Amino acid sequence: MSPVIRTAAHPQQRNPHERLRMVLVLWSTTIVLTATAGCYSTPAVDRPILRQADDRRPIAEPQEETEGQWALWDGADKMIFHRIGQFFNLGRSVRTIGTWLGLADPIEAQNVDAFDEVPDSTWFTNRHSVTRLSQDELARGPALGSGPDPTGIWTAISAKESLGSTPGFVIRDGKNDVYLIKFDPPLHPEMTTAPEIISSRFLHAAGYHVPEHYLVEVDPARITVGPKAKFRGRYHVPRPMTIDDIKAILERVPHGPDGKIRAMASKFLPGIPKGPFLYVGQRPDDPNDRIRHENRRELRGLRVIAAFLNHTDTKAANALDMYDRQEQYLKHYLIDFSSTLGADNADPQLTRFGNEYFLDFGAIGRSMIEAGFYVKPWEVPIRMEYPAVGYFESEYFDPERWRPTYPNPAFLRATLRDGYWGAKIVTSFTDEDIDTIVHTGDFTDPRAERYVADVLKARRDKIGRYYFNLVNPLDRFSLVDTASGEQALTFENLAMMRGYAPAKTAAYRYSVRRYVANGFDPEVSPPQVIDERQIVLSRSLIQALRSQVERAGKPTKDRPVAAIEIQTSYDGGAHWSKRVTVYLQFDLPAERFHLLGLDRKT
Amino acid sequence: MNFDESHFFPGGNRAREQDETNFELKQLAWDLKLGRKLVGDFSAALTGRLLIADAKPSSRLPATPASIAGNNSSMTALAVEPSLSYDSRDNPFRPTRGWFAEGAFTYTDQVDRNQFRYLGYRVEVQRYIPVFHDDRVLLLRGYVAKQDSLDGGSIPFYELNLLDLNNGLRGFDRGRWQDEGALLFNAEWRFPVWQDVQGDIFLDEGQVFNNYKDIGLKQFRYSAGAGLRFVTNRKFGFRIQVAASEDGVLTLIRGDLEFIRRRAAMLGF
Repeated sequence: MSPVIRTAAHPQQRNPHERLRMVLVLWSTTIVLTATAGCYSTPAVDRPILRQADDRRPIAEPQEETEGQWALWDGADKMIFHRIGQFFNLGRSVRTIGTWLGLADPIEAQNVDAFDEVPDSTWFTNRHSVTRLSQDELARGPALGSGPDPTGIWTAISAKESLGSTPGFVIRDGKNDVYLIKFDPPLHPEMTTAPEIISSRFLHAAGYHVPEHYLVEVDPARITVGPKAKFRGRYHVPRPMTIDDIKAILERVPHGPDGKIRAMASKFLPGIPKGPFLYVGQRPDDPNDRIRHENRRELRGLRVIAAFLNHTDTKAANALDMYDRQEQYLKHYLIDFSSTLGADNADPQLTRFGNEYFLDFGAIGRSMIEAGFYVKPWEVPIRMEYPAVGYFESEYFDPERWRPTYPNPAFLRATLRDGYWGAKIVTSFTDEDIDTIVHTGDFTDPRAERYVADVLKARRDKIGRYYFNLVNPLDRFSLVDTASGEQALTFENLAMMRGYAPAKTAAYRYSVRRYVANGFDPEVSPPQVIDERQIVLSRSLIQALRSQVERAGKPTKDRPVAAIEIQTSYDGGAHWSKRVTVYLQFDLPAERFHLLGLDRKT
Repeated sequence: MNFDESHFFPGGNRAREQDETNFELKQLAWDLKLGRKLVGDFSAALTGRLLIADAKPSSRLPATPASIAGNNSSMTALAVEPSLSYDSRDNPFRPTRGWFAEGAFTYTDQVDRNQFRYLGYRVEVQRYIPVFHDDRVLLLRGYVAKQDSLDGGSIPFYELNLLDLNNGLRGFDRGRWQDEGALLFNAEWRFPVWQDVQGDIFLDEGQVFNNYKDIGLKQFRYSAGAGLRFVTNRKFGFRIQVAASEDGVLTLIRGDLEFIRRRAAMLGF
């Protein structure tokens, strides 16, 4: 039979229907490719096993970043212009639609290792969730010393410069250390200083770099004014500071019965300040900064930790890069936790903060459509029990709904994997850990201390239940030798371990496949269901893997990769969770498996 | 003082949209009000007013006929208005609950001639009902006003009771319904949209009449709409509302938040 040869018609000769069909096909193809194209989640086997990021190389001293210092602009930008920009970013919008439709995966964090963990870096140091800190270490937090010298003179060297509403000034103590001193508002003693102490310890234990915070008593009699101290007076015009300025600040803050004043002293960070880091983009003058900030796991995952602490003020101005002149690299810090727990600087948190952005077009649109016939839970505030706590609750706290005061680009990019990573950190704090850290807030009323601890525990539990239900929470994989001489893959079920599983028992279904460059070979072993958190890598499994390699014509010196896909069920197998795929490299001659990494399906 | 262009629709409650006529009005008024709180939420006030007005047909056609009482003439009048009010609203600027009721009686007498002399009286009741939650408020309002000429005097047409976009019937153009009497009911649902922004949905119904016996269910004119109210507790506010009626759709942008009662309704003028 002779082939049928079709010649392409000249465009002008095509009928209109054909042309329309071609245009539609072209556009559809373009949109689908845009929605699904690109490798946004590097497979575990292609990610490095990395415990320490290589971001401490010497760099030339960078310029000071100024954009993030303008808090009002930053707020307007993130609430309005950034959102508009996102909407008109065609690639992002189409990909978002693709993600909704299940055609594409979300863009995952780019600084994770083969086990989907964050290596230590100038941004983050794995602490409590990886290696438990002692109760003393948790209570001490980032503190290396004991705070400002309590005996000598404190010389005021400048006023507090930020736009925050908490009163304060900067002092140099007898040991020549410099501290920012911040006070409580008069109607809410302890409401601002306690969260500063408590949240700095939680964030430090989580792994973030934070300043040393100390609770101190200020004796007005021991404060003098330095000769170069400046104060911003009327109309924000700088002028020399006087002792009357200090007195004016101290008159407005709560005094104890002995006349002393409770304050929080935040030690100035070592190095040279280079301005805030932004939660989007990179620093152009820092060669160590190779990953866009909105794609950093520790910044995306901070959303969950911030939700736990009700840290609503995660703006760029509350971050700071410090340049170490000796080591010649930048280190990245979170600063200012006066808008955490129940405090919004000098006021209690507004009930809608933590639930909506300050200017939330989505919430406004929904309110207009609902026309008042739906009452949002936070519109009916719970009673503010303790003035020292402010407004802090767990009743209608929703980890998924939680919002900072204005959109944070890294939080907006957070995926379930990022959320799961954050939830692992939050749920690593036991009741005892939380009690220990909250105690450092030194509330006068023990009931206030207990209240804060109880709310934090309840928020932690909501976070655990939410994320461990959406992501298969199998973790801490390791290979052990069994008594029979075989290897076994063991793991923990964090939901079971930390009490967030919907049932007391769980079943695990696994299958083994051979991982190849472009996917998986057929199953090496058929699906099996087990009750224990241990998968024996039996000799028959090894034989099956070996024969599949041989069938594929690979030399025996090749090191095949086995992918073990595990699902979890809490209802006897009626429903199965998403997969966790653990990659094991098999050394054929030695007949030993080695852990390569894991991927989580979300 | 310049003349302001305005509209007059002869025919009272039966006036058609195409009956619109144009006139020019120059008006100046001084008020002196003495008030005193009586018992609880009751208070009383006595208001004196000097009004100087001059009306003439507009050069824009069709002009308001010169034969209509008050047109093409000027007036200097004195008025006195005793009033009694009850106000149990929790916040007069941003009320969420309570009552407001006011009754007033007005005597107006022209001082330079004997052409205009009339009585006016009005009663208004507002009820603010919180629903679901304090910041969702159903406002119900009833208002009735009537004027009567005295001793052979008459009422200048620009002082007749008025229902229009500025006076409770928000879907109708300026000066749309005018007569000696006015009856008005409003229902408004206010709900929070954002920090200092409220949304509202409203239904207005009202009619003007010459005699009470003219009042009838079928005489009511309706308007309905929705809008946004920008209001802070520091007494700054404005509203944007869109209202629809049998005449069409109107957009209101106002630097105040309350129902406006102008001209006749304010002091019985």
